[in-house]
Amino acid sequence: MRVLVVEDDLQTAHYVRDGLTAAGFEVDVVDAGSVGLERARREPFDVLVIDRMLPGLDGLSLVTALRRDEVQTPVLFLTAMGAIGDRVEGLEGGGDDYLVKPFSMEELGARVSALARRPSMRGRDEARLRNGDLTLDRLQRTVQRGERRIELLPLQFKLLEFLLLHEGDVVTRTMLLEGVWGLRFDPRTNIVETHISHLRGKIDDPGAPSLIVTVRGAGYTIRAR
Amino acid sequence: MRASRFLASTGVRLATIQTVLLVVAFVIAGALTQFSTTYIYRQGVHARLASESATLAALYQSRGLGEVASAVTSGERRPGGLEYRLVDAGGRLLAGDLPPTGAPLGLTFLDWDAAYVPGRPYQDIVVDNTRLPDGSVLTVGQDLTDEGKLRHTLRDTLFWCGGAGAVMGLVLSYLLARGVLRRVDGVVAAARAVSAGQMTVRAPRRKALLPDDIDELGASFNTMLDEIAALVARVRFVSTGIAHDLRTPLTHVRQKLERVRIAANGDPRVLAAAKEVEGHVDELLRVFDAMLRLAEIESGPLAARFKPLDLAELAGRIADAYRPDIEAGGRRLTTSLAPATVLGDADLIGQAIGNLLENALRHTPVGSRVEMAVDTDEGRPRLRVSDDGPGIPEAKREDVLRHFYRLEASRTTPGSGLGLAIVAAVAGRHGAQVELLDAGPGLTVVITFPALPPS
Repeated sequence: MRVLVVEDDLQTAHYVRDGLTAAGFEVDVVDAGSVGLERARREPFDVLVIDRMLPGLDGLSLVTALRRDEVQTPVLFLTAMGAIGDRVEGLEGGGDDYLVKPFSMEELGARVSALARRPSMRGRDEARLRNGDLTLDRLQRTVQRGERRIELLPLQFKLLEFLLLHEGDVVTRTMLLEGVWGLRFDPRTNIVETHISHLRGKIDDPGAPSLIVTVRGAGYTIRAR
Repeated sequence: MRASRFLASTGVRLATIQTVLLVVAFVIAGALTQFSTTYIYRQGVHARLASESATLAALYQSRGLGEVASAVTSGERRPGGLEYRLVDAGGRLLAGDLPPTGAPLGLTFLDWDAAYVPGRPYQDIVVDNTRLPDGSVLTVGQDLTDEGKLRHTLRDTLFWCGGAGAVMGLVLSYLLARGVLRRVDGVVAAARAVSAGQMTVRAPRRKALLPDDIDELGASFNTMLDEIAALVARVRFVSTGIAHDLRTPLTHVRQKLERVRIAANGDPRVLAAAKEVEGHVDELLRVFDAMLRLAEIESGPLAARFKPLDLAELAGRIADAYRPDIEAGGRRLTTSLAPATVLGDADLIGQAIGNLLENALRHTPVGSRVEMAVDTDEGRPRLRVSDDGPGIPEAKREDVLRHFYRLEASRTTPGSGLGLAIVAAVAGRHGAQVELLDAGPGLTVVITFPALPPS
């Protein structure tokens, strides 16, 4: 997997490069928007990580230019400040995801992975999501574990569905907040943890290890089986 | 114009005082004029009488009593002339038709009424009695009717002039006061608007060749407001700048900490220390984020991005997100949600609702009840979050909406002190009103949004 990082702040650039390299990506870093645009046009990257604020050609213009050239590489925007307008502008301007500095490496890694695998749209169109003996029927809105029928609240269903759709990927707390509850701010409580624990209580077999695995400092994942 | 307001105006009060003073001065001046005019007129009469008496006495010396009598007769006939009476030593009337006066020798003022001499309009008269050498008495008199007429004319003139002056003074001062009042009203209205938070409003200015003190007042007022606005902007700019500038090095600190954790190689003491420092850095970053978020909410042109959204759906979603956590903390969350469409930004309103729930969670004891309701009040969508916790003393309710304000009891609990300030800013951005009420016991926060414009 190849990632192009367009970032002018040297320290952040190195942090991102080292972190993504450690996560198994092949990372190229450039510090100017125009160079980034050239390389993104010519080379087959899997994900672009682009700072919104760049000297010369800014991140948004870069992506707008790319999309005009029909380059559809997924883009993750980085920004120093989560300006409300920026997020909407970024996503409307062709960005696929958005991350506000400071971010943890786990968060960035999880999001870049999610974007990198996105083209396959695993399971997006499937009516049934399966993981081991767990089946989630998206049309009937039912969940079964083996022969056991599991009753879930609508939000718990949505949470499980989200995790299953990202099967094999780490899903971070903020990805869940955005994806499941549509919250785009950071609640200062353990919302996600509590919901996950309730969900575990319902889907897991007593005594057996949980289907939902906690990835320390990063988030949660349901391992592909 | 409201009468009480009009009477309360300094202009009208000054004008009334001026008019009263003018009238008093006019009355005094009129009385003095009357007095001096009468005095001068009377002096002239006295001189005339003395001169006539002297002339006739001289005639007696040179030509005798007979000549005097004929001079009296002819003098009496002169129109507008003096009045005479000449009697000999025996008291016999020799000439003249002035009735007997009974006055002593010399000048005497007599106040006759009209009935005294039927047929002659004598009223007030001044007479000069002279005894001629042969014992006969010559009386020369001047009828004062003219003086009376003069005095009346003068009085009437003074009355009408003074009256007209007073009325004109009042009218002019009314008009002046009204003009002044309007301009002062402009300054007062501007002051009210600014106190209500419209920092861009200024007192009206007019183009004047010679600016007066009210222009001066308006100008100084505006200069003061400009200065305050500049100060507020500077404070905001400085705090936003600090938050922004410190964020980058803090971000780097946080990044370095992650490397420390990796380098720790599982050493539990290093990991624990790193985690603790990370927690502090995250806390700082959260405060800065809240500050930047607040600055952004307060300044950004957002209205264009507003979309119709169902407040009940949004509130319900957030309540569902928080419910397990609130219940895990030993509290209860109940909702009563009726659909209500609001024109706004879902992310912002969501954050405001989240902040309210977090507040209710953080500042209430275990076992508390939190209630969230969405309804419509006279077409205005309304969100209500109440708890039965300790509440906020009435005197402090305004303060908690301010930046960084924290009640004494909350100093030790985590939080940026910006939670309710963000709620207030979000409400302000949406033209909504925030009220903090007593839930008896506990706190109720009500956000009332403006009614949706008819589409």
